[in-house]
Amino acid sequence: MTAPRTKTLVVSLATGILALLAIGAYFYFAPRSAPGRPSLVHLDAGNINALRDDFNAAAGGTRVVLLLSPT
Amino acid sequence: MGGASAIGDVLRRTPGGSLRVFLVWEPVLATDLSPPLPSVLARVADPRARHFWDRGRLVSAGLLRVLEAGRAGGEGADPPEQDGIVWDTVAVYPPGVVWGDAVPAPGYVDGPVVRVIEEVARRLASTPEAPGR
Repeated sequence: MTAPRTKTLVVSLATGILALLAIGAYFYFAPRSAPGRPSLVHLDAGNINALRDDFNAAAGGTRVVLLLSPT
Repeated sequence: MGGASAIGDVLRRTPGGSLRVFLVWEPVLATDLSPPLPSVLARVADPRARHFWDRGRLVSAGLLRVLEAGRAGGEGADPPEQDGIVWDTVAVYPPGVVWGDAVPAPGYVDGPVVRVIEEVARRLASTPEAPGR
């Protein structure tokens, strides 16, 4: 009597944890883009030039840089 | 996120093909576990804007060095900075400024964005459009 109930509980917990992991992975790894615009560019020490090059390519006009928190 | 909506609104009422806006998203708050969601990015969908996810806060660190060195053009007041992180901040660069080895000094920098957005809009509106653009 106890064993089947325990088994059901374990399966339910495992399913719940897997679902949470899948949702978390989606939000973390899913491609980000605004409608009709290029995807979000991920910056790191190796490709900070992606931003610098865009900035300098537009040197003929005014540029605005915003630093924002996503939440 | 109010800052993104604010600059999106400014872009909608500011013409100018030579204007470019770079939105650098960075983790600051405990809830910033992942890059901004598409619904957040959609707040600024103007073709003159590009979005970046700066997980290592490289741009913040570079701009902080500029601010600490007092090279920020002398305009603007006190951009938000918390534990060495510059955020909720807007920097305006006039034409001709080039990013070399380090983040360049802006002509104007201040925040929080929603508080200073009208000053930013005024500056963008008063910037003459370069000929042929």
